[in-house]
Amino acid sequence: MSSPTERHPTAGLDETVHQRVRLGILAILSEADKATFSYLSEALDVTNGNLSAHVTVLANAGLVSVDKGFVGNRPRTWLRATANGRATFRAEMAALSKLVARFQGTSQAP
Amino acid sequence: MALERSSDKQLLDSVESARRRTRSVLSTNWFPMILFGLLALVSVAVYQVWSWQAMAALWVVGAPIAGLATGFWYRSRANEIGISVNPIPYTITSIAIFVGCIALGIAGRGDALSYAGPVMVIGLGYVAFAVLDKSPLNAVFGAVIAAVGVAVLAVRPSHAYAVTMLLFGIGAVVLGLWNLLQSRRAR
Repeated sequence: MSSPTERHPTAGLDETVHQRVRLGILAILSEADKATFSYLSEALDVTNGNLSAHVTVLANAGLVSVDKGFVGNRPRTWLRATANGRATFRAEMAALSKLVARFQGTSQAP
Repeated sequence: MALERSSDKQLLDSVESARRRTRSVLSTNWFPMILFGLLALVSVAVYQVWSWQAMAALWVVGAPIAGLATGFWYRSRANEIGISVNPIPYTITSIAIFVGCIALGIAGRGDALSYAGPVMVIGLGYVAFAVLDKSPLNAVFGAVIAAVGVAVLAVRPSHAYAVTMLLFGIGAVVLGLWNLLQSRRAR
């Protein structure tokens, strides 16, 4: 039983990243140095338009940076997680894990 | 409430799965494993047929060329698949291995340290690469190679160079082929 003064794990969740695609983008970018837009859309199984909308939200929040360049003649958009993005991802995963563990503890109780 | 928490569990699982897949894609390292393994095996032949100096020259010239080839391979692979790791820790580790091997090779003056020292440095370097790649298998391989270097320094067996480099070369080629097989399966 948690004490009344203890913060509920949902208080640690971040509205901006608490979403499958946005959390997926940060998960991939926190493991890698950078990834292309097309890699993310394929890995997360989302359309370009859908991904673009989520990337815009993350970029506006300062969690990812976007670099447009070329490989040969082909345009290529690279995305990177910012330091803030990596920290936010770690905090979100910790809050989410705590929440799921708490729920599993509750549901397993007699 | 229960439904919300169940979707949180699904969210957590899907994120963990994305992380695992990304790690698997990023830990593809068959090219440098096979290349440096073959270089080690060739160096044994050069040492046996020619001389210690010829073998040392092969490493001094061959290792930087193999290192550059590895850099180009990682770069072209990153452009091809669209994801890459930060190259700086890998480059620093590679340079540290090269400098460490040369320094201990010279400091040993042809004695056991000339053979065992570089083997220990290579082993520790592979442990560092394994930490960067989050690869327990490669960490074990690196630790075994480093331990072999320590054993060679303690026991000083005959044919120390051939024994250690055959072990390293065969191990690296086998692990490289295993990694190649895994990366083909994952596609």
